[in-house]
Amino acid sequence: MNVDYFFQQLVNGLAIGSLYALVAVGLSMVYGILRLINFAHGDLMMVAAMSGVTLLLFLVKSPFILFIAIALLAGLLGLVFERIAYRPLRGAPEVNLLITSFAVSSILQTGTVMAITAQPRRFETVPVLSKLYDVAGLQIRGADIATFIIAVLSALALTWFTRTSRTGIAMRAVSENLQVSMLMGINPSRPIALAFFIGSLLAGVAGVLWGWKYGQVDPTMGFLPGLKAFVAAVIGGIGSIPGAFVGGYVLGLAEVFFIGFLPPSFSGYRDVFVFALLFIVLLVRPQGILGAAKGRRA
Amino acid sequence: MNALEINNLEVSYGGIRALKGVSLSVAEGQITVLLGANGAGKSTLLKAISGLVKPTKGSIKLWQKDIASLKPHEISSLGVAHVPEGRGMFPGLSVRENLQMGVYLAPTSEISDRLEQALNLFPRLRERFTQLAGSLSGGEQQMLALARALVARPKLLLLDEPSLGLAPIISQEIFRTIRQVHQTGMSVLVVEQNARLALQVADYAYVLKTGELETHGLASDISKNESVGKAYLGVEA
Repeated sequence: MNVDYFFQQLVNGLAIGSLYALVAVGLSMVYGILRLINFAHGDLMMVAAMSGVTLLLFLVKSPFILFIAIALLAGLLGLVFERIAYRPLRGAPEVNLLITSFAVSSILQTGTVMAITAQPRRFETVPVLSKLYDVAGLQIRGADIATFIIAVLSALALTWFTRTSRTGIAMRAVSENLQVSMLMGINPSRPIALAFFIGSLLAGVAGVLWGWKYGQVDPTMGFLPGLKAFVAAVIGGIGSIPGAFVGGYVLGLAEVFFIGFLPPSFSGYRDVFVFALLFIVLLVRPQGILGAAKGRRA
Repeated sequence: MNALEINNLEVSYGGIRALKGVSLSVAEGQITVLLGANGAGKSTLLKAISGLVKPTKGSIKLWQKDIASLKPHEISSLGVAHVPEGRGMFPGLSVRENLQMGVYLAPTSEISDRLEQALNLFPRLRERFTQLAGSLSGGEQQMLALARALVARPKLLLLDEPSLGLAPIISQEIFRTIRQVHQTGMSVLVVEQNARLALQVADYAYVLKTGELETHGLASDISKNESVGKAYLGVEA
C-alpha cells in the first residue's frame, strides 16, 4: 500500500461523497421542516437521469444546457409533488407523509418505465468529463472534478443563503419551530416549497452527474443512492444543511476506504457496511455530527 | 373601543372541550390579565386568537374584523404578536436572527431602528447578540421573546405566562417593561399564574376556570375579591 493509492482512494471517496451530499441535502432540508423522510427523493434523481437520456437523444445537444434543463425539471417536479402529494397532508401524522413518499416513489419509477423504458440506458458522456486528468500524479476523471466543484459550490451557496438572507433565515426558523414561525408572520408554504425546489434541483444535478460518471442509468438506480443519502443526512445531523454535506463526504470516504483497504472478498459487503455505519451513528451520536443535541427542540 | 372582542368561544381538542363558550374583551390601550389554574384553558384562548388552534364555535373580532378563520401568519400581519408558552425560541438561531424574524413583516427601512430600540430596552440581549438563543438563560430567553414580539410593533400583544420559571426579580423586570411599552398605546392580553404580580400592572382581569369564565372586573376589584384571593393569591379568608 502506497501513498498514491491512498490519495487515489481519497479522490474516489470525495467523488462519490459529493453525489451523496447533493442528494442528502434535499432530504435533510425537507425533513428539517416537515419531519418527512422522503423515500421518493432518490427516484427524483433517477427521473432526472432518465429524462436526461431522452432529452439528450432528441432535443438538446449542449451538455451545459442539458444540465440546467434537467436540474430545473427535477426542481419543478419536486414542487409539483409537494403541491399535490404532501401539502394536503400538512399537519397529518408523520407516518402518513412517509407512506405517501413511498407512493410517490412508486409513481416515479413506474411512470419512468412506462414513459421511457424499463431497460438500462447508456448515458451519453461528454469528452471533457470522461477524460482522465493528471493532477499531482493522480488520475482523476473530469466528471469527478466537476461533481466535486458543483457540490462544494452548492454547499457554500446554500449555507450563505440560509445564514444571510431573510428568506433563508425564515427557512431555518420554520424548521426550528413551525408554529412560532407562523406567529412571526411567515407563511410556511413558501419556505416549504422552496426547500422542495432546491432539494429536488440538487437531486436532479446529482442525477445528471451520476449519468456522466457511470455512463449508464436505469429506472431503479435511485433507490440505493436515495437510502445512502438518507444515511449521510443522519450521519451529518438530519435537518442541518452543512450537516448533509459533511455526512455525504464522511459516508463516501468511509465506503471507499472500506472497500479500498480491506481484502477484495469484503467488497460485496459495501452496502452492509454503509448501513452498519448508520446503526453505529444512531447508537453513539443519534443527533449526527452537526445535529442539535436532544432537547433543543422544546 | 375594544381591541379584541371574543364571543361565546368554544375550542375542542379531540372531543375534549377546552373552552366552553368564553366571552371577553380587551379594551384598546389597556392591559388585560387572564388568570386561572393549570388546564383552565388560558393558553388555548391565546392560541385561538393568534390562529394556532381553530375554534369550533364563536367569534373572535380584532377591531371589529372577524379573524377566526384566518391563518396564523395572516393574523400576525394584522398587528397581533403572540409570545407563546415556553417562550417559543428558535434555539438554533442567534439572538440577532431571532429578532430578525420578529421584524419579518416590517418595512426594510425600519428594521435597524426597531432592533436598536429593542436592544436599548434589553441591554443584556446586546451582549448576547451573536449567541444562539438556545444558549441563553431562562430570563434572557424571556427577554428575547418579548423583544422579538415588540419589534413587530404589534397593536395587540399576547403574552403567555411571561413570569414562568423566572426569579422574582426578573419577573418584576419583565412586567415593568410590559407596563412601560404599553404606554405607547399597545393593547396587551397577558395570561398569568402569578396573579399578584399581574394584577399590579393590569387594568382589567378575567378569571377562567375549567374552560369557563368564573368572574371578571377591574384589576383592583379582583385583587380584593375573596374567592379569587383564596384561589390565586394565597390569601386566607
